[in-house]
Amino acid sequence: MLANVLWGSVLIAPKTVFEVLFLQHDIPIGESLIIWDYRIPQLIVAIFAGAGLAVAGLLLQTLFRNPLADPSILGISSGASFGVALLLFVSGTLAGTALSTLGWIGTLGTSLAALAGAIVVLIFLMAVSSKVSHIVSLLIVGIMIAYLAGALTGLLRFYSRKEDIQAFVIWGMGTFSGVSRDQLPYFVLVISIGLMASIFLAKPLNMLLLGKQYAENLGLNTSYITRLIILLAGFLTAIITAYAGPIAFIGLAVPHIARNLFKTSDHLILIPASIATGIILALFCNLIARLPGIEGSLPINAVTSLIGAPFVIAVILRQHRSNTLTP
Amino acid sequence: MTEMLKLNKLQIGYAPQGKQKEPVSLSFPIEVIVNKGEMVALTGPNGAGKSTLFRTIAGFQNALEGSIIIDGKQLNTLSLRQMSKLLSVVFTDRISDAYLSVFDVVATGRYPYINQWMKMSKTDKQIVHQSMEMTGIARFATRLFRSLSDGEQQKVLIAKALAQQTPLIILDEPAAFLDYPSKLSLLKLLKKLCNETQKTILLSSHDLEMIVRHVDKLWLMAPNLPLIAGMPSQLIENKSIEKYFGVAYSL
Repeated sequence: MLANVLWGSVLIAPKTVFEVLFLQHDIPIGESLIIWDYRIPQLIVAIFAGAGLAVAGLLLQTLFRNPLADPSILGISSGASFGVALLLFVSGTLAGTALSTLGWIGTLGTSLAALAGAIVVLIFLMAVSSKVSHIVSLLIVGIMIAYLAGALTGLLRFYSRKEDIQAFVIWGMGTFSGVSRDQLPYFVLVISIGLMASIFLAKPLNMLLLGKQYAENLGLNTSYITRLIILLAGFLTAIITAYAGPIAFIGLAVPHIARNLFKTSDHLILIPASIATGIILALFCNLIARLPGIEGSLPINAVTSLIGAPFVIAVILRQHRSNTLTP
Repeated sequence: MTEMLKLNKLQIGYAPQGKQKEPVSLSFPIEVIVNKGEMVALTGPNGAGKSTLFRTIAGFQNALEGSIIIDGKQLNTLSLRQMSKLLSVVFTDRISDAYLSVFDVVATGRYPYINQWMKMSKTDKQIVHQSMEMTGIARFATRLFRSLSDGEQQKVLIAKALAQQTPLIILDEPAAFLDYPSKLSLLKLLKKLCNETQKTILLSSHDLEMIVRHVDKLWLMAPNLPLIAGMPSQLIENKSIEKYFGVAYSL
């Protein structure tokens, strides 16, 4: 965590960082600005985005009983992408103003558009989940929504102006620095509520590990819980994607890492474990993305996949070996 | 004898859906009673509606007509929570989770009795251990569930049902994937549970040869025939088995 404040593409001496953090006077204004307005908010966003995506991934993997489920599988991030693409298209090609020239209004607009797109998909999913009884049907609908939103996004991009496409590509790369200081408290509050709510789902999630029929026989209202899980996972994904872009991999990888580190299926342990692992992975990726010496910062999406993919492969191989060895 | 399960003019099947206006009924009205401590096997050719009947009794799908009475209580007036303390199931769903131990699976039987945070009392843990002892799987307690053979997994799920402490246990084709010795030991275990703990057990099976030797009563089901119940020897003697399976049968 400390390293996240110390390191950045602008080199600041550790001594100066401590002065800025702990002393109130005699501080160089430029460095203070970088640390308080840039690095600290980025650190906080990374913490909460990492934790939120990890929990969303865990909830969906258990619900669908599928280790490949992740927050993008329900089409929520695709919905967010479509929202952003639509906004860029409308403002750029139709209204003639490139959103990227509008500064903070542009950033806020992007977030709101992404949120709107994600919420539309979420509402649609909730409606579908009350209609279909089979969980796999729901999964297929989610994947189809993702394709649909992806195709529409592609069409919009085809007709969009070059600057807007570039803005879209940059948004799609993911960033932890998309939340301004005044929006930060809301972001933190909303994600915290989601994370706390997830703990109350630990028992139903444990029951769902046995499958729908056993869960129901143990007294669980599975259709109600299914909707609750989708709502919660979708809500976390929607908020995080709106501010940080569609961040890949954390939601998929972290639950696997947590399960394998703690060797348990108990969600009372897995939820906090995923939160902790998600935070560590997000901070580590944030650090790698902004190593001194790299111009600007690397796209978070590339970094999460670069680090996450080999990690998951290693974890799976280790799990496989321990399986074959135990009698 | 006390009645544990009573099916009263029960009709099973599927409610109207989409274009189809009429419900699809899979059976004649079923009229049957199971007494406490009895072991009953449901059998019949494929497509007779055995699984549908079990799913209906377990509350996973609604009855078209008639009522199901478990331990004197109408099923459709019970909450899921109340149901979970009356009836436990061993169904054919596969459990493939990576880190569930045998103890974990059996312990889920206590979930209807413990709170949100899943802290088990000493008594709860004792019940889990007793259930594992009774089914002969206590030595596997710390093993991973998915590392066990099909027969052992089936016993773990029966232990789960025991830990749930329900008077009625329903098993849908519990012997389907088992080899001969495992089938035999499973049926003997179920019989023992009926005798020693006064559990009422209802199972479905295609292994006619085996079940006629172990169960108290047989239920026969076939397409276009009403469900009939009786002692296995009776049903063999009066040629009912021949009629329901369409092939000659003798012991």
